Amino acid sequence: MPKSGSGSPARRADSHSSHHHSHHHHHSDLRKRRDHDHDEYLENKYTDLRDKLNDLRRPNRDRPNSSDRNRHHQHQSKNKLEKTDLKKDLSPARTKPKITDAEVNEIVSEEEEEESEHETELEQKNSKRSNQTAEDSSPNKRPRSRSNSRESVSNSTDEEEAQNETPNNSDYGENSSQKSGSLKKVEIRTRSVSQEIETLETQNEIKTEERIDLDESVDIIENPPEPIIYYCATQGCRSVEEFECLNKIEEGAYGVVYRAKDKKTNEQVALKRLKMEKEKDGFPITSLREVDTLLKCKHPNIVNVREIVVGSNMDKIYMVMEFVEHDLKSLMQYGMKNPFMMSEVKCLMLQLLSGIA
Amino acid sequence: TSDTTLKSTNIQLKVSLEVPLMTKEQLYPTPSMKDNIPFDVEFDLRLIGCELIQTAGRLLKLPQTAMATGQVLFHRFYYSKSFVKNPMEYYAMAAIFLSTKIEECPRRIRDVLNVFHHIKQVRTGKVIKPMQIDESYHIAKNQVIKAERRLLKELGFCVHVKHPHKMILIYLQAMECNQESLSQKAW
Repeated sequence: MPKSGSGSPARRADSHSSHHHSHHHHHSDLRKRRDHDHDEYLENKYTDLRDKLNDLRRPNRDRPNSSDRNRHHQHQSKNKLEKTDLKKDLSPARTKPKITDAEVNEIVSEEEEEESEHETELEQKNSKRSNQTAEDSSPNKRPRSRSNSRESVSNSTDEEEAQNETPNNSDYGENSSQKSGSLKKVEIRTRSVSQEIETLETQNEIKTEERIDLDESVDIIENPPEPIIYYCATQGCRSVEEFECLNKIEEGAYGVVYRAKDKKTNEQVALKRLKMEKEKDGFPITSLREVDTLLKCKHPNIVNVREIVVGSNMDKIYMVMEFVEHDLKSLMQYGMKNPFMMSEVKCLMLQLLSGIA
Repeated sequence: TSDTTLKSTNIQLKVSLEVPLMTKEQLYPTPSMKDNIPFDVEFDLRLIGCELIQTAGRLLKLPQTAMATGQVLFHRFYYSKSFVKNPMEYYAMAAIFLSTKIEECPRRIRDVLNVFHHIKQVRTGKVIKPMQIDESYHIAKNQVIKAERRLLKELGFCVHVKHPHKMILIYLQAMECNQESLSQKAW
């Protein structure tokens, strides 16, 4: 990924054309695809879009201050409504697991529209740049971009203005010609703008909004580190050696409970050792029931059993449970100076009942 | 080495209790194949194991779900362990013994051993004699108990199996196919 805008037009053009190609391809046999393929396709689409946005974003960040920033913020506040709309439009495509064909088509077309906008933006940049460097690489693309774009700017002078406009919005403020462009734009603005430019600007606003929108989602996706998932069902129980025993908590009818620490994550847990002394008929069915039901119970008011770990010789079996500071019985017996207040009793009762229900 | 990397980078470790779909790598070079058992031999062993479980289940008058569960557990186990180090017969016994408990129709371990003894005699064409309660019986019993534990350990105690059979019937009803032959075949 290029860090600054300079020296990358060829690469941009490349990536861009490939996108374009896939775009067409998808369009042609869209109907044939099945649901599953649709999902995959949307996923691909989304990543494509994200890459492209990353591309777009980079030069934006390099720019410390410009008149556009302010404008940009204004638009942001102005177009809250639009933004939320866009969010609504985009989110179902990613989250919905099952979508009907029609819906998918709708979403896809929306995405395509939006993408085509970005494409035009990119292309305008490209063409602008190629004008500057006198590399004539884009003439075969430009007409296509025009036909694709929603902004139906018909005459060539408007197109010129657009070219001057867009680099300012997503700028590379390095060379003088662009400065002149911005000057020109300022002139235009002070001249209290004509209709076409207004439409153009709204288009650009939408673009920036979209960019921000997707940027945020990209950040959300990339930030949290992926946890390693350990599947007990295929990888087997972990060993009790993974935990460091801290102290014994209590001994109940079914087993002894220890406080322990996970050596890898440093989390405190409670280890309950199942009593297996009288096992003349294999693993006791009562313990099996207990383990099975507790593993299935996922409720905020039921102590969570995370996994089962075994001793080195398969002789001891422990349930790993979340560690809870107090238990109600000992609290009521020893720990309290005054009995619970009515409100506390109500709260406890509610929790108890919702756990049982 | 993996432990140290975990510590140094402070990656979250999440323990999942779901039964995930097996990856291709887990499925194809099976543990038995790594111990130089050819694929077709392993296939046969699996087949025999499941047949043993099925016959034993019928002799023990178990519901069909118990046999199905036992067979699933049996298959799953041999995707993480090899047939070389874990004798098939004991694990077939352990699988059905465990599945009787899971499906809440418990049978005594002695009954299971008895039934398997009987099947073995029938298969080899010997004269059918009652099982002797002697040293070898106790050894076998301990082996089955051990196998059961290892089965539980390797499956991470995630032993509750959801069977597709019920779904078949529901789907067939939804599609209004009431022919018994079709549902029988699908089953």
